[in-house]
Amino acid sequence: MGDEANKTRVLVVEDEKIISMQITRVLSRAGYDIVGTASDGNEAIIKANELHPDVILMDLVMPRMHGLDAIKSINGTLPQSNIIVVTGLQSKSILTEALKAGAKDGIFKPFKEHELLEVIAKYAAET
Amino acid sequence: MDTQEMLSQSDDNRFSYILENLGDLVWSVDMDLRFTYISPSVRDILGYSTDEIMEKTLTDILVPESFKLLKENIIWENALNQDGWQIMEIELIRKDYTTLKTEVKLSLIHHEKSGLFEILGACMNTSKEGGKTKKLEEALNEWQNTFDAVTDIVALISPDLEILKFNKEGYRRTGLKPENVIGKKCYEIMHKTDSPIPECPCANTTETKEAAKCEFSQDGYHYIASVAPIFNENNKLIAFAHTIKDITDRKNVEEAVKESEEQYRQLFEKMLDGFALHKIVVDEHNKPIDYIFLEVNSEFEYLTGLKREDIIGEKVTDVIPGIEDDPAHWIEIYGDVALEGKEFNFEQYAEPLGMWYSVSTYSPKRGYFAVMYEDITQRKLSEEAFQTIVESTMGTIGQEYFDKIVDTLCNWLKADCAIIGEIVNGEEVRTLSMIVDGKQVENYQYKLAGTPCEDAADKGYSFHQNSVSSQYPQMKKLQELKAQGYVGVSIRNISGNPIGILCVISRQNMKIPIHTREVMGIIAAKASAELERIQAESALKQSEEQFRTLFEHAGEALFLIDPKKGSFIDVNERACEALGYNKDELLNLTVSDIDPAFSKDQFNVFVRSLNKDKPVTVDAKYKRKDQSDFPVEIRTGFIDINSKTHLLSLVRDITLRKQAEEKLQWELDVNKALAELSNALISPTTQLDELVQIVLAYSQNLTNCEHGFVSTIDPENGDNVAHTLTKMMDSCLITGEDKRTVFPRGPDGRYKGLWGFALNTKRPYYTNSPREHEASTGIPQGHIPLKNFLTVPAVIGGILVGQIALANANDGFTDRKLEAIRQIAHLYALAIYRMQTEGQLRESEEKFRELAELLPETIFLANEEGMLTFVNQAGLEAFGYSESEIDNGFNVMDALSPGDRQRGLENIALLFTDSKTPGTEYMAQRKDGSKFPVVIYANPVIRDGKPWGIRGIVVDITHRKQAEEQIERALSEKKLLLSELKHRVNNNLQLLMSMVNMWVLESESEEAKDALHEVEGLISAMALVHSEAQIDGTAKRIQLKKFLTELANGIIKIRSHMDLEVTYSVEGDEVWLDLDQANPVSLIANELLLNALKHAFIGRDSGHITVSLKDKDDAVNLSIKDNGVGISKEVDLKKPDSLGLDLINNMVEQLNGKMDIIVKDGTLIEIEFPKGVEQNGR
Repeated sequence: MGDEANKTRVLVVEDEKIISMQITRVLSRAGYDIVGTASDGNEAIIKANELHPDVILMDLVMPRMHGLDAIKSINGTLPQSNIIVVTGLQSKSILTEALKAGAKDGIFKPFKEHELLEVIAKYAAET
Repeated sequence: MDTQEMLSQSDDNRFSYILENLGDLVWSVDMDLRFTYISPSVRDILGYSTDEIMEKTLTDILVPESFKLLKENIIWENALNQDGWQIMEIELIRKDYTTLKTEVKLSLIHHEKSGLFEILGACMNTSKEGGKTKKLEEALNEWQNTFDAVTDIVALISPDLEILKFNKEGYRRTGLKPENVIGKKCYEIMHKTDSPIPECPCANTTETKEAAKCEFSQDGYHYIASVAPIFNENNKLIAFAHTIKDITDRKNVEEAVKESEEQYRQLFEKMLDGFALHKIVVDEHNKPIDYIFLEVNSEFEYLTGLKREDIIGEKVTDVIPGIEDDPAHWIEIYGDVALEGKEFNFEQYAEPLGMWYSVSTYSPKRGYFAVMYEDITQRKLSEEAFQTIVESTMGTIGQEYFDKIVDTLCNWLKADCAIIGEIVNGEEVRTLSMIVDGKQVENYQYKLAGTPCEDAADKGYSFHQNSVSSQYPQMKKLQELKAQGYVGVSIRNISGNPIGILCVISRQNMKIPIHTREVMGIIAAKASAELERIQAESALKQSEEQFRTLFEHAGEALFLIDPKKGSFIDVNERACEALGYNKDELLNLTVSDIDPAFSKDQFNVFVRSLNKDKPVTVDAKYKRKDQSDFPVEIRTGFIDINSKTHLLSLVRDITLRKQAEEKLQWELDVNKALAELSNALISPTTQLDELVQIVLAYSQNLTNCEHGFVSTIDPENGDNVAHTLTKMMDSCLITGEDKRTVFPRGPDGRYKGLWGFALNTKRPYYTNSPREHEASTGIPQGHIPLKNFLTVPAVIGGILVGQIALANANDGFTDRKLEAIRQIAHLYALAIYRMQTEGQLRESEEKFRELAELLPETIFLANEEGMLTFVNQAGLEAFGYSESEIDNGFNVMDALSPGDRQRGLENIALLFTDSKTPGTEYMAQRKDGSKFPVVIYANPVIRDGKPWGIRGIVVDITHRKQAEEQIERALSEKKLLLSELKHRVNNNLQLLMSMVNMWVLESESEEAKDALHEVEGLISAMALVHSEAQIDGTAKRIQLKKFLTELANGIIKIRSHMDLEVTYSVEGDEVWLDLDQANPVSLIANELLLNALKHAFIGRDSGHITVSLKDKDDAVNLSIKDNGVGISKEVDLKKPDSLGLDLINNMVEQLNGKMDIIVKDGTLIEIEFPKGVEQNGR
């Protein structure tokens, strides 16, 4: 990851704080710009519209608003943002649904550090 | 004079006397204007006698104007008033229709006694008037004298044709006296008729008012009558003036003149010929003795050679001495002409002149006679020629006639060639006879076109005096002969069409006598008749010959019959052959002899009914001499032969045709019977009883049999059961139940008698002499005599099912009949078989139904159209229909929900293609529309090898479906639960992973990092096991090879931060591992891979790890090999001091496996453990 990665602005949407923390740390160490975190769908929509992140890592099962709804909403206003689904629902159908709603990619929990870095790296180059 | 006074003394003689002598005309009339008195002066004044006038009325003697005047002016009142006279001027009509104007004094007299009136009138005879009358009278007298002086008849006739006045000539002519004439109808007097003659002009003149004339003859006299109507001043017709002139003399003179003119004219015309006028000389007895030439013309001189100057005034006896002795009695003959007015004509040949002349005599005046001579030499020559021809050809006909003609013509015309020929096809002339230089030339034929004959044919006559050959270069014969002259006429038939040519050709210029054309024409006419006769004869001959040839050699028998007697006039060879008579025998017979059904009377009727021009064709049977007969077709018509009318019968033996017809009819009958039988036999409604009746009826009908029976074989005991039996016994001895006759099968399994023979042999047969048949057992007592017998067993598939037996056929049995009955028996056998199998089928159906009713499921039977033919009670209940609703027609598709019907139809179709019987789920629909799930198991029903329908069972699966749904629901709940669980597990694992990861990131000690990496690896391995296992709970095994690949990948990636390039490969068999074994295996593999990474490649910058799997059926062999430095020999795997190895040992133990370590080119650790759920300690 070089300097280019530094420019990649990431919004982390994850209701579990420890996971959010870890992602933030891993990505920061890897040179990503974590512009914000959100712990539910609503917040994600607000932050996304506010921050215009390059990549949004989006948990699906969250309180208040489900990640899928948030994806739909964000995709409507920010179609250029790269939403990567991070979910513990290890099912292809849910991933397909998320992709339909506007997500670009996905990673199943539990993921390893290198797995996270590999998937986000695909979209770091795009910005 | 006082008239009143006079009248009052009417009886006074004196008064009378005065009146009688008075010059005035005094009269009185009654109210009807009839004269009651008139004075005698009326005769002088009006010309009537007093008697005559008394018959008249006043009206008759007054012109109409005067009468009118009188009528209007008489004042009747005056009479009553006795008031004097009235004077007026009137006009009177005299008897002779002249009129007289006079002044009249009128007075009315009233007779008081009778109350009647009279008019009294007095016409003044003034001196002035009297003078006038006198003059008139004188004039009248003068006129009367003139009238009488006329030599014609003159009459004055009244308008109604009564004679008023007649002149003397009239009386003279008629010889009548005035009293018989005056007042009589003119036609009675003049014409002695009852009505006017048609020529009478009187009627006409009334209209035209002009005089008219007519001529009429009466009593040998001729008259001309003229009529002039006379009108008075007032234009009223008062009379006709009629003159009749006798023109008889004039007429006679006229006619005489006419006659003499005629004579004169004739004379004049005849003067062109020789003419001589003579005066006859008679003796004292007035007998002609001589005549004297008075006048002759120059032609006479030429003709007679007598010179005028020598003979005029001379006696013939002097001019021609000896004439008085001539046997022709010339003088006597001429005397008759001159004295008796006889005419005498003759022809005479003048020797010195070599001429013929015609002599005609007449008497222009008594005592004189004229003789005229006409040169008829040419005519005479022609006549002679003609006569010669006629004489020479007389009695000859045909060829001889034609030969004579040409010969005679040649001689007559001094020609070189003569031809008589017939025109053939209008184009050519074929000689009938031809003579050239006196010799006959045979069969010469030439084209008509371009010959003088063509002209002759067209125009009737052709004559060329010379150079005919140069004019007609196309006619070869002319060229050959170097002909100059030609004369030819056409021979025409009765219609006027040329049919031949008669011509004469000469090498010299041709001089022909006058009348040549006529002579030749006459010859041609006769030749025409002859030619036509010959042609007709030839045609007749030809036709007769043809007829004869035809008659003799015709393929058919021909009979020439006398239509009156019916006898044979002629017969041909064929007729003799056909009937077996010789010709003479046959000619002695009549039609009735060979056609016995045709009596003489019938023959006569037949002949009368025959149309002259239309032959008729009839069929009959002819009898041969040997009395055998044969069918014939006779065509009979009238034929005229030698102008006699005969009947010609053409007789054709139609035995073969009849046989063919009969055969055809037979086949038709058989086919019809079979067709109708087939219908009856295949009809499902036909009962056995009916069937046998029909079979027997047709069999009897076809074979013409009185008796017979049709039976079936009882399948139970083999008895032959006759269902129909025509009465053969006086009383039925062998009668079974239902009045059926049973012919039992013997204990030996054989049937008896003639009928039994067929059943035993299963072969049809017939016999026309049943007593002689080998199977005959004689006739039972009371049985009808058996004349003949035919029987056919009904056999199907080799099995005897019945029998048709027939007896006493009227005309016996034949192979043909047997064959027909065989065909019937075949159908009959089929029908019995069908009935029997139907019975069996019915039983089977019955069984099916009983079973079906026992079953709780819906059982149904439907035909190909899907119409339900059977459904059990359970079915009715399940679907909510009543039995009658089903019976009224119900389609099985109506029992399916609409959405399933199409599929249902398709599946039924499939049933017939592959006959599979899978249970298919449908949504069924009840009558009330409610639906329920069913499984239908259906089978195709095949009948007679053809798809007939379906039979099926319908299983209500409502309960099963409900259970399934419950399970389904439970399953999805479980899935949801598992999914949620999995999510939580994953999230928790992620939490752990995140924590460890963060510690790794925070940790500064490499040792701590490694330890945390191991923890991370362990969590990953556990997570991997989880993720590999399907979360729906159904998966209980994992794919070990795939699992190990991911595990290795994760571990080696984590370690990639080291300055070590490690590659790996996973190879070997795929092994499915129970989930229970997955955890220890994953921990072992994790530990071993970590160890290898940590220790194997120390001091190296690269390495390779190989993971291998072997499926050993019951066991799994896992090996992990590195190409590193090799494990230290001090490491005791069995008693490890490290946690890792201890862990591995424990896990291998848990798996009931064993582990080996081989150090060679690195380290190979091999673990083998048994497959299976049964694990040690678990």
